[in-house]
This record gives sequence, structure tokens and C-alpha cells, in this order.
Amino acid sequence: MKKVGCNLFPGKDNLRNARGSLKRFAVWRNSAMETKGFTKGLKKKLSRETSSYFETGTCSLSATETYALNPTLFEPKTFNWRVDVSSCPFDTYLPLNLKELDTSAQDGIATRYCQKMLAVIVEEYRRRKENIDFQLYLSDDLKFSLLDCEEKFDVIDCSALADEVGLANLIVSASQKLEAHLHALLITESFQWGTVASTVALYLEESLCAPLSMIPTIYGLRVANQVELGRTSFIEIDYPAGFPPITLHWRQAQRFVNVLLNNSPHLKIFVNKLANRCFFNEDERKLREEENCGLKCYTPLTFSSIVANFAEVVKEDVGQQKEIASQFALAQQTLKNWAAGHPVILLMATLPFTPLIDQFLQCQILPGASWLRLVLVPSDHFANYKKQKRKNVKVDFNWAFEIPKSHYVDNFDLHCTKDGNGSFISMQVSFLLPKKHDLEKTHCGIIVDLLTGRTLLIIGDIKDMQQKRYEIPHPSSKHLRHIEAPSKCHVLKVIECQESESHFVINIAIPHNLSTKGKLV
Amino acid sequence: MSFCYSDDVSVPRLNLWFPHPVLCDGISVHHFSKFIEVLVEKALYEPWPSDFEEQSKWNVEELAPFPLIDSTDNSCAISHHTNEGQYDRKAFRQLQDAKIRKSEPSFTAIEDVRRIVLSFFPLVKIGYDYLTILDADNNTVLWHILVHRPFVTSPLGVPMLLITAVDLEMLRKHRNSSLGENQVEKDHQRIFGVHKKVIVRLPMLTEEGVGVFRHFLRTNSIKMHPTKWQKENLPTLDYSPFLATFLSPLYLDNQHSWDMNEFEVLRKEGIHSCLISPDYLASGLLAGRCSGCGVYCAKLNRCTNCTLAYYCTEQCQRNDWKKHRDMCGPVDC
Repeated sequence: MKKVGCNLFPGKDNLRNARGSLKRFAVWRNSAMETKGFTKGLKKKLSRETSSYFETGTCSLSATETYALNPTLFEPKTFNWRVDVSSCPFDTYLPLNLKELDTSAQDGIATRYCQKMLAVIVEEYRRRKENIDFQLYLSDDLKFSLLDCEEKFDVIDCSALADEVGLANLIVSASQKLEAHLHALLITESFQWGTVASTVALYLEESLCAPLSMIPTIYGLRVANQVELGRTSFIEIDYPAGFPPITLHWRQAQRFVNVLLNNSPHLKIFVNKLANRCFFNEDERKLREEENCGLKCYTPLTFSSIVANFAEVVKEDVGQQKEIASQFALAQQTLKNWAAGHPVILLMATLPFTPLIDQFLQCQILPGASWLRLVLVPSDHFANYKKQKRKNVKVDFNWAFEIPKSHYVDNFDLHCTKDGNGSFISMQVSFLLPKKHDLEKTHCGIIVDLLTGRTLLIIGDIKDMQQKRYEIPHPSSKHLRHIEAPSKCHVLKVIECQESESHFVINIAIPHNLSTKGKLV
Repeated sequence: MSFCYSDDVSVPRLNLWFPHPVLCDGISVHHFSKFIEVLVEKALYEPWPSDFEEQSKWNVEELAPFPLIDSTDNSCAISHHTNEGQYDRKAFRQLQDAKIRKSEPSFTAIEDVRRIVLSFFPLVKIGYDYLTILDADNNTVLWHILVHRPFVTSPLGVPMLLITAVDLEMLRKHRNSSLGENQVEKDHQRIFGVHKKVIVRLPMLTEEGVGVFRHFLRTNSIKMHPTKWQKENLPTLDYSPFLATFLSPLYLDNQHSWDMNEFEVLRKEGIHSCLISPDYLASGLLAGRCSGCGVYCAKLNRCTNCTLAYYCTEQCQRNDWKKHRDMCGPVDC
């Protein structure tokens, strides 16, 4: 094992400059630790301690002490432990409580404090574990709702996954595993929300494509924080990101009872906004390039899941009424069939592991997956395109425009198979199509970069792909929102209900034989 | 909501449930021959019903006083949170668009409420403990507020001002619906009547701001246990217009809504950008509104007698004297 070092500044030649930068970095970290009321001497000691951690990778109080290493920071290729700029062991225990700090010590002040706090947390856990069943879910974030068990949870803590997969995706996935009672709690966090909007309320409206007052109807959850009133605590001017992370608490919303919604102008606005986010059009490239907070992860499956989730509340199929561009028609049909329980097939292309695949993984996937799209194009058109490519190199290629009868598939699975030694041997690309897709003889699949349209990988002709019936049911079919349908034995019935941002408008039918029974109150 | 027939209770009731709370007095019904149309207003500026049962409440009488002096730089600790005394700073004049002075400011309801709340702190510091909130459009008084000193430190570490507030809209409804002499009116006189002479009137400038301010006070009231004095003196009624609540500054979510050049100017002036947004600055509100003509102006002169009214010209001050003289007077600290 090589000596533990700080990988921020590799190379001994840079060490002197690195130390200067580290000092500044530690000072910046200290301001993030909210040490405003601390004396100068104390701040200096904390700065030295933080600087020492980033320089050596350890905050051990004794050179001879045995301690456990964090395996997630180990780099198998270099055999180094990576000290990451965004990760400091003191972060979890901020803000530091001045009353609890041993300010007389010369060093190790923050470490001793954190050790004390950790002991308290472990004691709390031991005290509660008899009554609380903790479970950790470590797989694909959005497949949480597909877990093959009927179990639901009173509390689901999603950490900051909303920044990775998009808040709407996360809410729809996680809410289906949340207990139905009104005290159940879903916790989401965000570190990047300020890149989307200037207020938390606006961040929610942008991410969920709906006004705050309609989120309970559409998503079945309400945000319990008073986001309309701004922050209740003070932000220091020197806060590094400019906006602090937020933690949102979501509760189950009361369901409609004896009411089914009709489509309304406000619902149409929501559906349009959501569709614009989920069906990425190349005309919007410039607008979407800088999007953060997982908004790039809104796909046709997001649209299908939200609309399906919402379908029990609304009389009409609101999703159907939105006209989608023709290149998405096949994807939309697939998801609609899947949601309705009609047969869909899974196609899988298996590619042997070649230097090209290796390069694709290294450049596109491992650094943090790029914005990718699977396009099914007519094989002969694609062959012509490849010939023309060298002569006429186009930037910002639009497949649907340049090659008609292209189909965009934004939801696909990439899986790498390893042998017993851990080496990659093949890569599988799989995706869903309707049972009768009629593309077998004509189309092939390619993976493109959404932002430029550039071809990254060719996965082969459809006729060469494995095909089998897809047995896994659509997530929304497993977890109904338990809406109580209007009772048929009621004499009085709601014949129409429309919702807007500020009102419900309800029409109640008066049976003719009851019109003499006095006034309806 | 439940629907039934007034003359025939044997017809089963129709019970409706909605995902969003609605207002009891926000329902209007229109009868047609074959159906009725019911318009139901959502309770947008109210705590949710479950919020009332949920949380553990603060025992405000055990909270420590908020320090008046900041120990690190000996400045006024509260003014860090309230941005006091910035009205005539040269930097703001440079940042403001001259056209804004004569036009109607466009700012959000939350900005309106933030401004009102921040106004309380310097006024209470100099001795006022009875204030009113009024609707600037029609001068209707909305709230009477009695302040309970001293400033305390909230569990979130920010300055907190305990208050007793009476919602005058609700009081008027009680008055209109009661027979004979109204106990609520008597309670109001008992609690607020003695303070009639020393009044500060703070105008709400947006209609939506009126609702948001009410939401703010009601949300805060469910976070705390009333003080001993409040328990002894405030009537315990269903739908009481009296609130035992508190004020704390409403901070911005994101201080990076500022342009970096403006951010630096603010920083040099010592303004904390977590309290004002670019829109608020552009609105001219920070410059102050002339009490006479209502125009927003960077340079205002204040009434030397009470120091509470601001005027852009001497003529405005003369024109406003009839209204202002009732509240003008030296402040008794």
C-alpha cells in the first residue's frame, strides 16, 4: 500500500503551492463550520486541525492508535486513499457547539467533539433500535418502488438523491413505498436547489412543474415546511455556496373522497410543463445545458409515472391530451401499454468488451453519466449518414429532423458483465418496445449525446437483439393511491370538479325527485 | 364538506374530502335548476390542520435574552438581522433606477411582510410597544399588536419578539354576529385600550401580503406556549381573534440572487444580503416611502418631533400634518 496522501494536488513539485492553497481552503471550510462567535485563537486551532486532515488524510489523535479506514475512499487503481474536497469528517457534526468544545486543548478540538457527538448518536441508536426497524436500500434509486415486497415504511429518508435523479422522479418512486397514514414522513434534501430558483418555494414549483397548492393533488404529498415564508435562520454572508442545503419534510395529503377531478386549464398547464421537461427537444439544447438538480433526468418514463399516479384522481386521461412530437410516439406508446398492463417486450443488445466500449464507459459513464439517448434509426439511412459524416460534419445534430422515422428512447438500461477476476467481458443495452413495433427489419440502435446529437456507440440492428416479454409490472399498478371512488349509492353526486391554484369548483347534481326537499345546504 | 337537504334529513349526506384545506368562510353556492355550483376557496395562508397537533412547542419564558451588542465587533447585534438605518446610503441611490421612483413598485407579498417585520425591531428598541398594521389601500386597520419585552433568542439563534396580536377582521366578524354586548370587544379594550395614545401605524402595501402576514403570525403561534401573562389575560375561545405569537426576521432563502457587483456594494455597506433581494432594492422600498405623497425616494427627511414619519419635501410634510399630528409626539423610552 502506498503512503496516504492528498490527491488534490498530485506531485511533490506542487506541494509548496498546495500547502498555501490548503490553508486558504481550510479557512474557507472553517467559515462553513459557522464559527462566528468563536475567539480568534480557537478559530486558528480549528483551521490548523482542518488543514492537517486535508494534508494527511487522517484526524487521528494518536500516531500509534489503530483505526478503521473508510473503504469508499480507496482508489483500486492507484492504491491511494483519496481525500475528497467535498468530504470532511467534521461535516456531519456541524454546527460545532461552543459550549461542548474543549477549548483549552492545543489540538484535536474538533475531533474530540465529533467523537463525543458520535457516541451520543450511537447511544440514541441503541436506545431506539428495539422499537424501530431500520433498512438501507443501496440499489438503483428509482427502482425503489419496484421492490418486490408489500412492505411500506413510516419514514423514508432519501438524503440528497433529488439532486441526482430529480425531485419529481424521487417523489413518485419513494411515495409509493410510504405508509398511507397522515403521519408518515418522506425526507428529501437538496444542495443544488439554488441553481434552479431563488427561493425554495420556486424550486419546488419548477422541479414539480406545479404550483405549491396543487402539489398535494398531483403527487399525493404535501410539503410540511413553511417554504412560502422564507428561511427562519440567518445565513452568514460568507456561506460558500451562497445558499444553504435544505431539508424538506413531506407528508401524505388527504385523498379526494367522493370527488373525481375533471381536466382544467391549470391541470393542462401542469401537463404541458411536465411534458416539456420530460420530452427533450433539440430546440431546447441551449436552455437545458446548464440544468442542475437532476432536472435532466426527467424522461418519458417520468411523465408516464406521474400521469399514471395521478390517473386515479382525474376522470379523463390528461396525459393523452398532450401532443407529443412524433419521435417520442413509440416510447410513449410503450409506456402507455406497460402502464395499462398490455404486453411489452424487452430488447437486449449484448456488446463484447472492446477498447471502444472501454472508452465509452471511461468518458461517458464513469465520470458521472452524461446525458444519453438511445435512438432507433432506419439502418439504410444511418449507413448513408455515416458516409456523409466526414464530408458534412454537423454540430448539434437533430436526428428526427435529419433522419425521418427515428425513434427516441430515453429510458434504457446499461449493464456491464464481469468475469470471476473482476474484468469486464461484455456490456448489455436493454430497452422496452410495444409487442408489435414493426422495426425488426428496418431499424438499428445507436446511443447519442443529447446535447450535441453526436453518435457515441452503435449497438446493432434490432433483428440481432434478444427479445422477450417483459414481466415486471409498471410501478403505478402495484401501488395504488387508494382513492375512494364516489359511492354509487349516494343520491347526491358530484358531476364535475375543477381545481385551480386557489379554488375548487364543484357541481353537484340535484335529482329531480328531490328538488322539493328544500334547499341543499 | 358535507351537503344535505334542509327539509329532509333522511336523504343521505354527501361528504366530500379534498387534498388541500379550504376556508369555511370561503364557500359560495349558486343554485341552478339541475345542479348547484359550489366555489370553495383553498386555505392558502393558513397552517394545515395537522400542524396544530404535531410539534413540540417552545417554552418562550425560558428563552435567553437576545444580546444587544455583538461581542465580536461591539456593533448592535439586532441590527445585523434587521438592516436598520440604511435608508439614505449613497450606494443605494447608485443602484436604483430613477424611473422606479414614480412608478408603482412591483414586489412580492413576502417582501411586503419581510419589510413590516423588520420595521418592528427598531421601533421597539426606541420604546414603542403598541403598533397597528393597516391596509395601505383603504387605511383599514388589520392588526393591533402589543409587544412583550425584552427581545429573546429563539431556539434557532435569531432575535425573537414576543407579541400579543388581535386580528381585527375576525374581531369585526365577532362583533357583527354577537347579540348584545360583545365579550371579545371588552377583552380587546382591556388589553389594548390603555395604549391608545402611543401608536405606530405600519402599512401593508400588497393585498396578498395581508394574507401572508396572517399566515406568518398564525404559524408562529403554534410553535410556542403562551406566556403566563397571555394565559391569564387572553380569552380562550374557539376561533379567537387573539393570538399569542412572535416575530422573527424572515430571511431570504438564497443570498446569491444578487448580482456579484451589487453583492460587493452591500457587503461594504455592512448589509446582510440574506435580508433583502434585488427585487426589493429595485422596488425603491429600501429608500423609503414619503408619508405625504407616497412616492419612493432615496433621500427623505424625517419628522424631528417623533422621528417616525419621512417626507421628500417640506410641502409634503405640511400636507400630511392633519393626519400625522395625532400620532406625532416625543417618544417616551
